[in-house]
Amino acid sequence: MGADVLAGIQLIAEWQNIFFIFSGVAIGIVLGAIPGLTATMGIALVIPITFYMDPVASISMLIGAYKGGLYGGSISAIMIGAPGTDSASATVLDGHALAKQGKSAKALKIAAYASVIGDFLGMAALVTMAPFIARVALRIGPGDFAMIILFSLTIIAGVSGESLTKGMLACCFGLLLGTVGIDPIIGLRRLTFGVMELDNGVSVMGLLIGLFAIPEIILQMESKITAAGRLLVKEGSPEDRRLTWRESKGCLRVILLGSGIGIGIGAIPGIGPTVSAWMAYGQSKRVSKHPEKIGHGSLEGVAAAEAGNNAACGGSLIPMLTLGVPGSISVAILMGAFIIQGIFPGPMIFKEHGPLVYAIFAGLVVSNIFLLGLALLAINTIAPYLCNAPKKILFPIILACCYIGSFAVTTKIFDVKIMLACGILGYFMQKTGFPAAPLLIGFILGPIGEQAIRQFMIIAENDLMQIIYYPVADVFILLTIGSIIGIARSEWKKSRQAANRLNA
Amino acid sequence: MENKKRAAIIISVLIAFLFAIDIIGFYIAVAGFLVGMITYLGERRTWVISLSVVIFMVLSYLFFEQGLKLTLPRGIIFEFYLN
Repeated sequence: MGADVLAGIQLIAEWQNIFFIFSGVAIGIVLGAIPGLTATMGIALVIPITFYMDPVASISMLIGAYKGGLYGGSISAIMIGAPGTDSASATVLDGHALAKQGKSAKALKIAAYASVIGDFLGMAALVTMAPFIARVALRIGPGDFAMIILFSLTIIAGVSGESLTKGMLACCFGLLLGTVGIDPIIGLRRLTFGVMELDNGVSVMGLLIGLFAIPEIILQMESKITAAGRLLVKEGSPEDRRLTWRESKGCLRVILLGSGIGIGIGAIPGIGPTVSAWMAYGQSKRVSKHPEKIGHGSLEGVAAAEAGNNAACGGSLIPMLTLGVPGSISVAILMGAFIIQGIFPGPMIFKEHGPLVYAIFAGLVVSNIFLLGLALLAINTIAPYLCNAPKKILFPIILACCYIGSFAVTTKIFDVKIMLACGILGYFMQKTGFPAAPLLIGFILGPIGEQAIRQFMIIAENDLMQIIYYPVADVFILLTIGSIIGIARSEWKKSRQAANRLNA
Repeated sequence: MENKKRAAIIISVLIAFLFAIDIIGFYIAVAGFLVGMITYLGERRTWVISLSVVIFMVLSYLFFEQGLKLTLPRGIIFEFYLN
């Protein structure tokens, strides 16, 4: 392991890699700050650029973009009161209230510090826990692994949004799309309809860009484009702009609490940075010295929300790297990027790609430093412009980028067609209330789970019941049953509440 | 209703753009697509439109063709004449 760590640090220390991390964070901040372009979309758009890089550079740049996007969202949340990214929605409350008092620079500064501290703690949790979990996970065989995948499919309940039924349908469709192509064990063509280009399956890149960039843009373009909100140009006195040591020290408690919540929530599959930001924000009232101020322009509110959403980034990488289970939408996209590079996250990654994993860890440290520098630099320079970026020009250009991006990976027009088909599908899914995230999770987990279960079937000589002799698999079967019962109970409660409301 | 009509137009343009790339090549198609879309979204200043289109095309040429050594689609028509 020690040799891997050193090799990893050596890998990341190359100047190209440092440069790519820097640009990843910068792109993330810019895209995150523009209202309407989310951090998730940012990653989907950056993936094609990273395709031709080596895995270390590519993954570090993407994680940098993700982190930058999480912070960037707070810029427009504070300055115009509209979150640039979903996860910044909790930042709006106190952040925008502070901006109304002319303290936007102060709010942005505390947001930057809270983001970086949250990030750093999340990363520390990842680095200390992941190798340990992975070492335990290494002992598991294909049968156990298949059950882990089965369990993680129940996380679609967390990303389904309003309707669980629609989420499940979307997931089933994703699983179906995942089976397209040549069968991994016996080599038969499945669901290709005689189209040669489908032999390798539906391209991950086309699906990612199509589902997570195109529909959002069409939705925003179909209604007449107006400014997202009025930019507050009120500049406070120098005292309002400066963040004093005492003020930041006062926020440290909520930052630590928010980070803890973020790491925990992030590590649970299915719950992303948005939920953890709101939870951190809600809990901050409990530890704050001035709970009455929260909601009316308190630095602590901003700090808690930002620490919460950024810490979730490190937390959500834990299940992805150790078990191959994507914890949130953005992480599912990141996992897609790993797969495009030919690396399958999971317990084996520490053994097969040890230096790579430690290089990514080291890259996280570097991206943190860049995040702090760029975040503080952006406050006084480009922040106001980003909030009012000219969407009339930006949106068509982003659409064109989607075309180039999906073309660039395989240089086949066919992938662009898949991208557009997924984009139009995604648009109608959004219109009819079907969530896109379960589809992606089904599409990514399906083939991995299939391979595991079929390997297991070969070992067990086609006797599925032999699975009960594997203790880890048993634990995950029980967890799956428990999780399904839990989901069913909460759904039942929800429908009863709705019925009561109708009667009342 | 208004939104549905706009969405239908946008989606049709996206499909047309895809086939245009195949036939007349990426650069001509993207110039047409961007000018059309930006105008449709309500930007009327000619210099703003042309400047952003030219910058986009130059950057994508430099990044993809010079940087990544890819060939963006030239289109069926031009491939026929060039070979």
